[in-house]
Amino acid sequence: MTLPLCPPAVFICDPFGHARQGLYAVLGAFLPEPIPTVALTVLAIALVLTTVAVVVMSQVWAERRIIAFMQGRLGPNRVGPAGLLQSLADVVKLLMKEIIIPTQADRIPFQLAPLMVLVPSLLIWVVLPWGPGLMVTDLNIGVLFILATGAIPTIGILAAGWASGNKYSLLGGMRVAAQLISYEIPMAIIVLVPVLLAGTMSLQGIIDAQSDIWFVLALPVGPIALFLFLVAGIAEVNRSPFDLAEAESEIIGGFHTEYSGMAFALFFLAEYANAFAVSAIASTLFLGGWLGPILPPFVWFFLKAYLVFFVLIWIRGTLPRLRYDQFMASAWKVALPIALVTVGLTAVQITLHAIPGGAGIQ
Amino acid sequence: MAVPDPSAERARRVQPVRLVERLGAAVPEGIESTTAVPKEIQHNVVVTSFEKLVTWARRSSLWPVSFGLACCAIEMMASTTGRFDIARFGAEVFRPSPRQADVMIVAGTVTTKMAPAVRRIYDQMPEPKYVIAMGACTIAGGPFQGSYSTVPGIDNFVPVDVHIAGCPPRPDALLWGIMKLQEKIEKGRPA
Amino acid sequence: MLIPEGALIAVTFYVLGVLAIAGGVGLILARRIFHSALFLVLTLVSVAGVFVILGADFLAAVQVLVYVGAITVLLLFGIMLTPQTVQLPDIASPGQAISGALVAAALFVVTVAVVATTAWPRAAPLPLADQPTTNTIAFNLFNTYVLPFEIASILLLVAMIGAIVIAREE
Repeated sequence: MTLPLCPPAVFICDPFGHARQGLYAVLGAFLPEPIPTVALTVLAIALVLTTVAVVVMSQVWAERRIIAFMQGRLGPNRVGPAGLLQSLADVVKLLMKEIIIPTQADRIPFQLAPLMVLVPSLLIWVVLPWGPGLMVTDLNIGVLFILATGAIPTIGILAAGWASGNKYSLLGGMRVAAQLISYEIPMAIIVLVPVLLAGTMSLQGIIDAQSDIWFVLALPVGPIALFLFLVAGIAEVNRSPFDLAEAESEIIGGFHTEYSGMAFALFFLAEYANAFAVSAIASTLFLGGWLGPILPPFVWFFLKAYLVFFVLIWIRGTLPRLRYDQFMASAWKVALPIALVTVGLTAVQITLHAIPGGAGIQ
Repeated sequence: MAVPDPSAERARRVQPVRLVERLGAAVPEGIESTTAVPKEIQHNVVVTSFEKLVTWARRSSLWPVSFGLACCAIEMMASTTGRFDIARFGAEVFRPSPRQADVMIVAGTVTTKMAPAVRRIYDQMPEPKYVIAMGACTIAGGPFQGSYSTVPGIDNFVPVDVHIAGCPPRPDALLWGIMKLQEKIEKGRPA
Repeated sequence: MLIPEGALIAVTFYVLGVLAIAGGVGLILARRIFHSALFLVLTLVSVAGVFVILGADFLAAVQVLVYVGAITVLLLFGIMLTPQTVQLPDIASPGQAISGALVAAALFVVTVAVVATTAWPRAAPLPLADQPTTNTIAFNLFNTYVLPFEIASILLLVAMIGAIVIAREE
């Protein structure tokens, strides 16, 4: 029994699409050609950035409340109704803090590093589809674009560690960079599984290929691929149990020890934006993105992304931190072989047309 | 015959806190608050809602630097657990680096060897910063008052905003101290 | 059209070109090696932008992923693990600076003259293919050029094994 999809003609099912058509009609009536398209793209980008900001604030609140409940506590509940304004208070306070630049610090990389870490996490949102046709642009190398922009923050972290002028920051920065590049490889290999199953690297194409069955249900490679993608994703965003960089008993604050005020807020924002981006990418590649009955597509998108983020919070509240050598061993000796075998198995299954549900290229 | 004690000499030479004339009273330097307006010019000055937003944010999001020294630290850790839960005030984010913290809860006996480190951590915190002296040892030396190696109260070298008496003070008392600090941030003077 | 498409592409190309050259110049003139590495990142990203203008999307993404994400990181690791007290020797005399500038200028003039006067075989601008460049590259790589591909893989494997052998503690 298939449940009905939300019909696109209804306004609530596709509010952004309807709004875009309406605005294009209005603007196109009396402005020459590139201006309406450019204006709409700029508006889309502004909408995406605002959404990212709101989502990150909700993530901070959700993480603190959920981890508190898991630990038998309450979490922030005084600052607004049920503590909802806690993230706003954090952000405003960080904005009004004094910015300290240590005398030993190398000024320009010190100030540039938070930007190098934040901008790629915002760039990833350019290709994530919120609904059919709802994204800033549909690159036909969408998945590769995500991998490429996910590789840039490593430079920012190295610059932050080096430019702080503090040996603990330098060591912390180098360890984090080694961690990030180690897990880039299993991640790049495991995203080949949905690419092989869909036959295209464009995210919209991958979602279209999941119309019959979500890729996570393409046994046996689907669940393994999702699990490994989440593991690599958690390692890429420095969350527990891979957050050795921020382990206070290990290395003080790691690469962001010397950052205060707004610069630290940018690192903080970048980490949560990255975590949500990883959740959204996992839900797009494996859980069907915005596909779902009855509810509007963008609601499904955020629902699935928040669900995966809840799993990330759950993991953070439950598992202890990995030691550095255990961590590197798990990347090179466990994750990479499993990723290679999974991709090989997927290729074999596709060739034998043995994918349940009929997904895959001919 | 007096035994020369270099650490006690160093403790005695630690800088006293400067007092500044603010709001019509002598208060230790280090209180940063901008909503309170001196009585003399209150009818000339109006405080904007931006100031209120900023003080609301500062008091709702106090991030302590994890600085537990002795037994009071155990009570501070207890206040982060389920029964007392400092997280309700938004203060469960204990930052390891002083550069990202707002309030230094000095919890435990400060020895003369540790005093320069305490001062250094205080100096590394960005403005606006606050200090809570938790426990009798930080207020006046506590049970170790008069000892050759204990600093009789951290007032001697950092400006303290809130003192919490007790040996050790219960976690409820620490939460009371934090609430008092929040009132102080809002009103700019002891409530 | 308010802005003709060709003009937009030309402007973007010149901007990216200026950025790439600025990165190169900064790389050479920077006082600290770390800053040179960051200027290299600027140059590499600008070149990726030029690839995008040419329609080589796969190549642009791989340029960023491999060059910026891996090779520059390796470079930075190397820079950070070496002592920074090594000072590059200053220019000894004005004569040295002048002769250096003359040689560089002569080289520039010769290169520009050769480039400007050669009759480059002009290919017609390729229409945007209906299949993504990834597919084209993959077909060619695994059918026509599979031997160089395999040789390159073996070369990388040999290099990795050599590095592990050298770095291993006996």
